[in-house]
Amino acid sequence: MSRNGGIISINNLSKVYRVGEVSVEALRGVDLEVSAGEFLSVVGPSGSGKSTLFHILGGLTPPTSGTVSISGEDLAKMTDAGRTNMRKTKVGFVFQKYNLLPTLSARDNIAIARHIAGKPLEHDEWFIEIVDLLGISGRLDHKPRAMSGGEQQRVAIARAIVNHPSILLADEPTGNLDTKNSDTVLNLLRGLNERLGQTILMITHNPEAAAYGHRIVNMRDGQIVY
Amino acid sequence: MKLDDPKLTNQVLAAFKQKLPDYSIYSVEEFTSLFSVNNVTGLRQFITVVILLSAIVGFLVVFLSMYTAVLERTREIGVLKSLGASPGYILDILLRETFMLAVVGTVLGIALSFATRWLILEFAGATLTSMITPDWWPTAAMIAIGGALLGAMYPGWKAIRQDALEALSYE
Repeated sequence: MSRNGGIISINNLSKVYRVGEVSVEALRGVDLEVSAGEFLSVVGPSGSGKSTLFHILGGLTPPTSGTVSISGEDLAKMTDAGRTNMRKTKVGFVFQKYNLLPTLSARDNIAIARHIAGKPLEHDEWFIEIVDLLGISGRLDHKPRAMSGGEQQRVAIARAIVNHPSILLADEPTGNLDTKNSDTVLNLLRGLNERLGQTILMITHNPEAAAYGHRIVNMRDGQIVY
Repeated sequence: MKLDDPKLTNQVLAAFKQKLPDYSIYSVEEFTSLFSVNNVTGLRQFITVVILLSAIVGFLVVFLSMYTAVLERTREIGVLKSLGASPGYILDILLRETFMLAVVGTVLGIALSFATRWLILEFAGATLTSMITPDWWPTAAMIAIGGALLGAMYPGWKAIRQDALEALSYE
């Protein structure tokens, strides 16, 4: 399974949320290894903890205990500022609801990720390559409201990978799309993985979508079940 | 008394004053000049209170408009956070945008005051003189810009301090 060595290493990870006076154990001792260049699908029912796992991997929330290492850096030991810095370059997010900025064109939605990472805004070869690969080069000057769901998701994917992240986290990327657009997006994700060696972790409820990955991990009650 | 020739006003006035020394006799011009701010008791204080109220209401309107506008963008702030934007980066964008909006709003507001005066004079047939006082423009600009910046800063600061996940799930 190991293609280019482990890029994600999770050991005994747990996450407890406080909801009022109640503690909710979202993750209970998760262990997982992901190799560089792997396309991993995470499936499980609602409340199984898969979104929490992604949020921790993406540095959006800290773990309660355990270790989470991405490219050798332990997220558990990072401060808020450290996790913010990590999100600039090491992690790219693709959300179910696209989450594009509505006032910006597709081009600017992609460019702002570069700007935040402190990179020049000029279109380099990589930018041109990914917009061509994702088939959005003709839609770059359109605002999100003028694009279909599939196009918006492709722009979101371009934004997520424009800074060469170590991992791409896709949270139900086809959840808001029809079958045709879902197939397009999933094929694009697989293409990114195969052509560019992009490590991808994808959450999905859909077994057909999960089958696009090299490996499927099932989650239930905050734990990984095989 | 209405005169056929206004040029005779002073002459007629002097004649009346001589004949009726116990009466106060004024020309219309003199009479209307009595209605100045300083000649009516309490008018200056009243105007000051009205101006202060207008300034406070203006400030609150701008403050609340920006507050609502930024609050509605909490999700966008969450998106920026997920992309790795630091609190300073987000506040910088927010405040620059707000400043530009406030400046454009101030200029448009001043232009609108000219348009409103023209409309009143043209269509309402108003007899009172309406004056535009450029001396008030800097104060109006300060109220607009200050209100907008404070209005944007509070929800912006709240969103920045918020967990990225909470900001992202804001509806």
